Amino acid sequence: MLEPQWRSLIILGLIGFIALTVCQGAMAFEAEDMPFGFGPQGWQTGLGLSQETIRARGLLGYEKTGIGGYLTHSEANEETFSWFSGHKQVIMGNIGYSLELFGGNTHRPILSTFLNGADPHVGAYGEFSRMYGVIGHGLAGRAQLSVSEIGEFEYSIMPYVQFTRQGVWRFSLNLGSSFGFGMSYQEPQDKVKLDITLVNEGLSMHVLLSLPEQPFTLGAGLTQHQAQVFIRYFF
Amino acid sequence: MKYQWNASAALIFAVIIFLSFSSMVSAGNPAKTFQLNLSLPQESKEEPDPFTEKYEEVMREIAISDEAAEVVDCIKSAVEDVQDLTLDITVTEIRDRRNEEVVLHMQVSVEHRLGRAEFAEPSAVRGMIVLADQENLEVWVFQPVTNVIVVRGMEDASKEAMAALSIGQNMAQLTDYFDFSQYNVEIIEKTELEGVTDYLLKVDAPEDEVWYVRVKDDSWFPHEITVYEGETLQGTMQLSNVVLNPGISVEEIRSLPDVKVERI
Repeated sequence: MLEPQWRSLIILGLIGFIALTVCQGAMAFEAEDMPFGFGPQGWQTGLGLSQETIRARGLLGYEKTGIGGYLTHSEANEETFSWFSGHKQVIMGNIGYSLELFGGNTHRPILSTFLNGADPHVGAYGEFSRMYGVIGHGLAGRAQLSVSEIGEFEYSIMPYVQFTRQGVWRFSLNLGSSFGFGMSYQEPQDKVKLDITLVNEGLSMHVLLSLPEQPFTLGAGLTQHQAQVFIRYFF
Repeated sequence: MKYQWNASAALIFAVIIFLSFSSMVSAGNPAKTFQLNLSLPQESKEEPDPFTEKYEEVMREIAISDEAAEVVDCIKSAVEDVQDLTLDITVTEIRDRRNEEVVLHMQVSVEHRLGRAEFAEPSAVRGMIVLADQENLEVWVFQPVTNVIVVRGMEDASKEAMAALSIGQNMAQLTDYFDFSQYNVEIIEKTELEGVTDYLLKVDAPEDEVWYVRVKDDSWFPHEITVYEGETLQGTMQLSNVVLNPGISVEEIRSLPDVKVERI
């Protein structure tokens, strides 16, 4: 017999992948990738899928709708991790907003990196952005509810300012269940992404590198206690 | 979102100017839509068709003084030989007793069939750059909010914009924007300053619109157009820093921020 935590984990994983496949019907996925990494759970490998459509909204706007997720398995303790989401982003001139609904048993990935397993949970992430040319501000928020018996609820609200100078720089406050500061950088061509956060648990850093015209992305995450490195191979 | 419509309207106007220039100056099709023969058609023994009759009827109704006709002709001549131009456009629209202003810098290359608009105001579109590539029928839009360039088909972009603004039915009128010879034109003001004469023309446009066009005789390029519908002021468009034939290179007009490109 499977233990309850295993059951919920497998169910979540199955729900995620069924949702991904059913939603797409016979359509091929836009991007498939194989994550391969090393972290607190030892060596991990798995499969990631994503699909996104983009369409125009008026002359100066567009919207993106997509789904994505991954399932990985760790060698060391035979654990399975999954995370999946559906999202919509709307841009109208210098105003943008997005909403993402997600579920899984890892923390919401930061730059594709997830360090910890977590209780199975469902949640939502939303963001509003307003630019004034090269400077702007916005508000992001995340809420997640654990599917476990405890039913723990976490949320965070992140007001931020952002400016564009050789890339996009964002400085944010983290309020809610935890308190902290954050800084992120996105290189203009998306080749380098960097995220540094200082919250209750301490400092964390994440970096994602995309190799030009290569089917790989390299990522790394580091906190005061844990580290993960990975390669995602897109095929 | 109201600024979006203004911005779209300004952009569409800009694209229309670009397209108008294209059609007017195109070497292979010189002034096909622009030249309007004001003289009476030659007599013919054949039965005139209904369209010709209607055309003649309309043309007979146009009352224009010699001086106004000369000014109209000078405006037409000024834009006929333009190969490229740069200008700043300020569109002020009166909406619900409020002035809403859109400011953009425009570059047009007729030879390369390219038009580029950089928005400065309002803040809802500040920093956006729109590049209309008529040769490849594409519109490139730089979006500061996501720091990406979105590329779409010009046909789709125009269709959506036309639908949003409901001006599709007025396209014919707008494509001949600077050809005032089709309308009753009256010079209602003429001032001279430092050797330059500034004319204020009253143009009876279709659909109960009246345009007040200001043009100076040093360039013969209109620098202000005020539109009234009946007695109601609709808005004003100011054209400033106009440089005709500055020799814009393709690289200059196509120059966009080095960011990720996404195609729709």
